[in-house]
Amino acid sequence: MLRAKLKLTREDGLHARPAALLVSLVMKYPRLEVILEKDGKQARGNSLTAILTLQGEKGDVIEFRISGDDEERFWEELLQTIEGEVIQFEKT
Amino acid sequence: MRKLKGLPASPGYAIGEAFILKSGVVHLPQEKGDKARQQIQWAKRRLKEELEKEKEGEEGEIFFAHMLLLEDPEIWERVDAKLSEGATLGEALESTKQELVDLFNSLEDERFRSRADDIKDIFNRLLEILMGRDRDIPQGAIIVGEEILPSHIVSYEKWRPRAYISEGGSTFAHSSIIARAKGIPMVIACKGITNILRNGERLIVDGVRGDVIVNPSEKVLALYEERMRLAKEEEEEAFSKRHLQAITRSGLRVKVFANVGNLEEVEEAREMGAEGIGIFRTEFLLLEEDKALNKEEHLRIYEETAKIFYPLPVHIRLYDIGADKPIPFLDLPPEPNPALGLRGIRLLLEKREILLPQLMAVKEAHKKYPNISLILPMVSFPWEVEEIRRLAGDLPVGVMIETPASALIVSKMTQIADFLSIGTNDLLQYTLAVDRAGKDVGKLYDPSHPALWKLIGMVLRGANRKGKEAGICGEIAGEREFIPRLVNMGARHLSVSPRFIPLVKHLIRSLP
Repeated sequence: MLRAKLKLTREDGLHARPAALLVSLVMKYPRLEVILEKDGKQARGNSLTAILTLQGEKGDVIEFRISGDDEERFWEELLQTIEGEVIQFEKT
Repeated sequence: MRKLKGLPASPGYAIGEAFILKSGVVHLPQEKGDKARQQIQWAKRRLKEELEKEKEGEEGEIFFAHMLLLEDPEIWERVDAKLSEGATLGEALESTKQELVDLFNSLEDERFRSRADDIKDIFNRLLEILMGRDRDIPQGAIIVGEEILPSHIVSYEKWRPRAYISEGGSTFAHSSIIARAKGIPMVIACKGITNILRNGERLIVDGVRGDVIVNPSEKVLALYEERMRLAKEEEEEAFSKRHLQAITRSGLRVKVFANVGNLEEVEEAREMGAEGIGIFRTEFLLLEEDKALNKEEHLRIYEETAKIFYPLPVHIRLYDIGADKPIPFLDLPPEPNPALGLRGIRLLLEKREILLPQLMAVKEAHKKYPNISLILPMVSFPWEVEEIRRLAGDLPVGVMIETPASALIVSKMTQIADFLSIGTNDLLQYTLAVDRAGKDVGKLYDPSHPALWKLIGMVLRGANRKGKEAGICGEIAGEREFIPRLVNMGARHLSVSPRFIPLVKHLIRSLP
């Protein structure tokens, strides 16, 4: 399990485009479960509607909980995809 | 597996998935439970295929997001839960759409709120697919409808349908004729089929026997795959020999001509191995025009045709128009009985301003290209032919035998005509007194009626005795079951749609 907090730095936060990129990335890893959390609200990483309703804006902090195969590889790809400042990272 | 009986309207076999055309008032899909779940899966697959294409185009990113929505578990779990509670497919989709739209509309940020439109778009498209809107016809489907109209067959061509099935229809309705000309199998008169079938169900269409087999067993599927393979082999063999003559095994040569309606088809006919133009249906030149052609326009088309086929024969048929084939600029008053009214040669002799430019053009083209001749539609009286002859000079004149009257006086007709062509479609209609497009009598339009064959026999014998060439144009000239009989009775040429030419030649070659 990998737990990390990411501060969104892109102008478009987690709007349509980055959200879509994130979902398609999650779909590339079918054996991985990805949960996003913001202000106590959770969203599944494979659901575009759920991620959009988090309304992630620039400066918001999103917590990711990632468990399954290839957790780290996924995390690296994620950083390249949606960008952001890692403010917490732990692997358990 | 289930077998449904209809009537064969266009030969050939097809295996594929059903697509049901709904006409009139659209109702939300009523399926429930697992049936509904299957329908959703099918509709999602279809929409995904479309989105795959759209995401390559401009604004592709939007459609890329739509594809993700199609896979979004949050959406489909909601739909699934509603189905589990007993909702119909339509209700489940409509209410989930509304919930999600409300959810997005409740967001503070306008940029997130606007995503509600994407939700609406994919739900609406799925509903359209499920309700069978035209634009959602899948590639390579078997199209099933209460009625299949000629315009359907033309406009659906881009989706490359494998077959058509209709509840109504007649073998000789124009949609059947077009399906045959395009080589698409069709079964008609399949009562109630649009209610029996579901979208996406696997079907075999047997356009030879008129059967529709729903969810075929492996065994039946294998049988039809073999039939399709053999048919394809025959077709390929026929196509490879399309430019060779058609000679029966006992050495009789039968010429195979083409029926055409414009220059494009003339070229197609040449490419398909036609040995001449049996009938140039010149009234088809008028369909795109709002006036009759002038002499120069006629001349250009006929010379071009004659040049393409030189020195093979080209028969230009004078306009076959009248109250049964209304032409806007003519403004003819409606007749109570148009098939028996002012049409074909009768109309042309009344309206010389339409006849003369065309006749003079054919005459002039003949001076330059002696392979051109004239053929007259809807003749019943010898004087009709004599009158045209008087105007035609040394232009050869043939006569369409399409009324029982002209068939019965064949000995007179052979004296005044240079050749004969039996138009079996109209001849059958007038012999049986059955309207071939008639809603209720269409099924009586039976080309195996002995009366038709008695007349065909009289005409062919009469012509051969006088040494005048007589052939057949009309649907039966291209049909496997009738070709042996027509050749055996002495038809010297068969005139068919360009695409049938290779197979007709092939069938002639196989005759004793």
